[in-house]
Amino acid sequence: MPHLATIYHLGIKELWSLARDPTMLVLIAYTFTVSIYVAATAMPETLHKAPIAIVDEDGSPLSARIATAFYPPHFLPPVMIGLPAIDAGMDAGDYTFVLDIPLNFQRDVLAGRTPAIQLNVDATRMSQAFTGSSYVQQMVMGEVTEFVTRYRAAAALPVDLALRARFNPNLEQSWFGSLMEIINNVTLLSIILTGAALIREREHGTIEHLLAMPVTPAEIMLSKVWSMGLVVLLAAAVALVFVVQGILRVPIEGLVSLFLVGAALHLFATTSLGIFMATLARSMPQFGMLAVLILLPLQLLSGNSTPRESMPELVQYVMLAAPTTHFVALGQAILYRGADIRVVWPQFLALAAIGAVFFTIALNRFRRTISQMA
Amino acid sequence: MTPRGRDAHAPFSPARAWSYCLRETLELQRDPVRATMALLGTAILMFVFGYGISLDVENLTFAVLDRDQTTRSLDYALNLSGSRYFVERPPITDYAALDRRMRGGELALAIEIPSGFARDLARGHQVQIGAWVDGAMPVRAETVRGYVQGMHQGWLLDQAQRRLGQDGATGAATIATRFRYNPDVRSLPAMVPAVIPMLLLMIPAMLTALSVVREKELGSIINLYVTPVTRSEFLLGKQLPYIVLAMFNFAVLTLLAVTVFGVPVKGSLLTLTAGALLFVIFSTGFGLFASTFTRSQIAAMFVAMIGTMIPAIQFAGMLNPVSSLEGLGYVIGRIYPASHFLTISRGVFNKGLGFAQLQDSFWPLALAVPVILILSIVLLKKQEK
Repeated sequence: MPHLATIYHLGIKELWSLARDPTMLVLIAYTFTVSIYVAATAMPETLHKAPIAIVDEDGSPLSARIATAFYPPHFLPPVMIGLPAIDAGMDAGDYTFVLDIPLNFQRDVLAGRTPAIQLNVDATRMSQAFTGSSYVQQMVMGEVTEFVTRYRAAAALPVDLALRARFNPNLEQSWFGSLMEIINNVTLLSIILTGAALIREREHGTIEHLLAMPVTPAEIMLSKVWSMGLVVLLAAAVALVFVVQGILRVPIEGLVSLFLVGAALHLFATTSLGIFMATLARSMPQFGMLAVLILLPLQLLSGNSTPRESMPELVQYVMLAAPTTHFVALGQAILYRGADIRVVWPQFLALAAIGAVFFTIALNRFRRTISQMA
Repeated sequence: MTPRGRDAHAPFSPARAWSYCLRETLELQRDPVRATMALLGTAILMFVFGYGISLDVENLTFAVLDRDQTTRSLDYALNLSGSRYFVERPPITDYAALDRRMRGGELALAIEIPSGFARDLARGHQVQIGAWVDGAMPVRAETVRGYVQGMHQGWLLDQAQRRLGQDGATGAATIATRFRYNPDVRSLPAMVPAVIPMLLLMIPAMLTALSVVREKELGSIINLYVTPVTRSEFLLGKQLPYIVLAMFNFAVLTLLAVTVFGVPVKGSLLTLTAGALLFVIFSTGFGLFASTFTRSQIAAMFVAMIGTMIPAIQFAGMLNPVSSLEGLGYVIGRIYPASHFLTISRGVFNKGLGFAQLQDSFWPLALAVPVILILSIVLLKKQEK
């Protein structure tokens, strides 16, 4: 049975060793303030300042009208270029879209000959190319239809589509970006802090001192989990209240406290994961490699960069074992959709289960590694 | 060999740099786990991301609150569920259920068809269909919005044709969309060239990040303090083996891209290789930089992580083009070498370009190399304070 007092004192020791590394403190402060602000404000809407160029071979009032339809914030002001400049401009990535309005376009439209406009899309820029091309089509067709209706009336069915976005009416990316950045940083920091702290003790031999004392591996591990978890939890709370709510003015629908409970569960899982990784690695350089290899998928495939449902099914299932997936889901539900515990309990349960499994595995490995060293 | 006496005072002695290079190579050789992880790990990650990150938004869940329950209102719902983008969930019974299911994130889209929909439509009265999109993830919401609008228009045209006998389908003009460089608009050919820069940034940076600070923490840095070796010899000598390893890594990744992923190198391989060489000199240099001003391995690892991961994923143009970014993120994206190498990688892989068309991306890369190296040399102390 682990002793609470021992765990408490060992944890305090961890906090002291962190406090004596000023670079580390500055870095933690940076990641939870400046870094979140920059990432949140940088993220554009899907279609934001999309670079577009127009080749106007027609030079008619209609083609001029089409050109004026594109303006910020969705598009950069269109650049008027000549036909030969299309390839070079697209090759260099200067434009994502190039619209080519053919000669006699207006005349053919009015004559009812249904002429075709060519839209070139740089398809290597996936998300922008996708949403953008349908946007461009809608706008061009809208302009053409409006132009034509002055000459002949078109009948339309009187069905209106009232489309509203819930939880983030203007689809502001900073709302999304800031939260995702907090989640990323919480994961990154907790894994590195616990894992590296353990490796350092091994490399410096201070773990020998611990082993000579009447403490058990479980106590050592629990002390690292609570102390480093607490540091990261505090930093996340500060970031959420001061940076996200205070400076970025993101309205938070749900309870911040419920989110922090979720974060604590998440931290239980990630700190255990950090210790597990530290038992696998023999030295700090190995641990560094391992950290990159594990953190990248944890972040990119958790559903906070691209939607989960569009990933291959196998990836979706495997990522159910990752704490970040559930943390992202509960974070979005609580903070944006104002969900309460009746809605997000499955995620809480999943996090607790993953944490318990990680902790048990890590503790077993930690016991074995220690007995090998002694 | 130059005589020892003269060599000791040379500002840069290749022989001394070489001996540090050998020393570092030995360290790398005798810890094969690390090099194996770097090579095998990047290969695995390339698989994971090549297939895992899909930018096509599909399989979106939606449900209908149908207060009309006529064939026409059913037809409207079928119009959505029949597409490959949407998957229908059990119908919504009332507003409370709508609210609960959207809050839980079960539904990406909820549609409400008012009672009397078919009747009003037949009489030519104005009717309104309500649609709610989950805005918690803006990118996804934007896409859903586009899909729904498009399908609504399609349904209207279809109805006009079928019921009213109007020829509404042919508009005044058409738009022929040409998706260039990636005609099938598949994620894979777009993602693979974007993943290579990310991996060649993070892994080499993490490999070098600990090399100097580790000597500080374990005490062997004393060799730098007390021998005639200069800071530049020390750093460049340490860097060289990692550049070689990273270039080998690059070769593996390119080979995988071509053979396993079937993403051919359409442009000049030499240009790509030259770009990669400059880029890995930068990324290993960044690791050294992180190693020179920190005092603990944890801090160095952390600097290397946040200094590479965040810019590589968010600001380098992997998911959003740099020109669309805002504020400081835009500035970082413009300067940071990963964006330029991404342009080169996509240019060569997808667009079939060579050096002539891509040289604008080479200059910032070529400039970043001396900047990061000089910074590292300046920040490394020849004596502990």
